[in-house]
Amino acid sequence: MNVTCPECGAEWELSGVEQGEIVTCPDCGVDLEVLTTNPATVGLAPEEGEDWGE
Amino acid sequence: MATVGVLCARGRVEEKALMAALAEAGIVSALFPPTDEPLPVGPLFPMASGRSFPVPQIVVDRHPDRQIARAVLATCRALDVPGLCAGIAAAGDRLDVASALAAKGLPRPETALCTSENAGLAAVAAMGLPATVLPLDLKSQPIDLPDIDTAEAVLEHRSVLGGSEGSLGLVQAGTPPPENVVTIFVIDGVATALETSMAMGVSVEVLRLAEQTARALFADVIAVVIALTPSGPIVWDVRPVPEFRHAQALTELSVPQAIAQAVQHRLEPVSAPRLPSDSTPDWTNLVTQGTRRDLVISA
Ligand SMILES: [Zn+2]
Repeated sequence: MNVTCPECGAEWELSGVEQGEIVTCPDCGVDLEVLTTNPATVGLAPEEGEDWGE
Repeated sequence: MATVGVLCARGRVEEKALMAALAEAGIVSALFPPTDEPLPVGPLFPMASGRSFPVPQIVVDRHPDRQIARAVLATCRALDVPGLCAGIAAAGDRLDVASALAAKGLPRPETALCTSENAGLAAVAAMGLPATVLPLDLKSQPIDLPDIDTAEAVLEHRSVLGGSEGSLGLVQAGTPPPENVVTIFVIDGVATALETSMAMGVSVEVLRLAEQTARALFADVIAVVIALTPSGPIVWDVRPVPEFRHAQALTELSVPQAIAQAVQHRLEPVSAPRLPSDSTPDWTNLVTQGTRRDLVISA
């Protein structure tokens, strides 16, 4: 199933992944979190470190 | 090396659109600096590999991490590579921006610089609520303080977990609702596009305020966030590296096309001024106008 990278707009086929898994965009290299698997959607993975007060 | 270096961590939608617009204008571009390549400091010398460092003719600042952007822009200036950037907002933080705009008398919200949790609480008590905390680093999002419980929790949390960086911030009076906020993209001094959820149209007064803001900050490319208040429009915040994928064009050019045009103007050869035969040449003026130094626009 095709997913679209929210960072760079690239589309590619993503299969065999689980919800919550971190994948890397093959185009821009950003870390993405698998939000849903059916249909497959991805969002920007949360950055490391505590996001204090934001 | 490409003519234009697009300074960024990776090519997002905006950088891809910009590079496409540059290509459309016949200008070769590449992401900059090259991945895993150390940058030279000062005059060029051959790299350890024996190759010379690939220096672009001009750099467009699109880096989301302002700390990295500041370092690379400073290095570019040292290498005599001009940069297209947000000027004071590219080189500085929200305090630098607020100070520069205040010095020019541009309308801003009541603002206090707070260096501690207690200072933040005192500012909120003096201004009233709602208020907004704006971290000094321009990449951090403003935080709404709708009521005193939230204000206390946010200010304490930032101070305890964020150390001195978290204790420092601007507190601005009010929290403008999204329907009273418009973001204007100013490129080379001209309001080029906007983004808003406002129902009504944007007045010329708002566009001019955005352009004045860009001028005051010596910004080539910037997004100015303007809040509409009962007493008129005020400059709420600025974005040195704005996302523009949802921007609505105000001119015949899209944001990436307008940036490409700004690049093109800077790449045009600086023509030597013709001297009138019967007058003494003004050499001071000639020197400042004739070198590439005058293309270094970042602050
Ligand atoms: Zn991507």
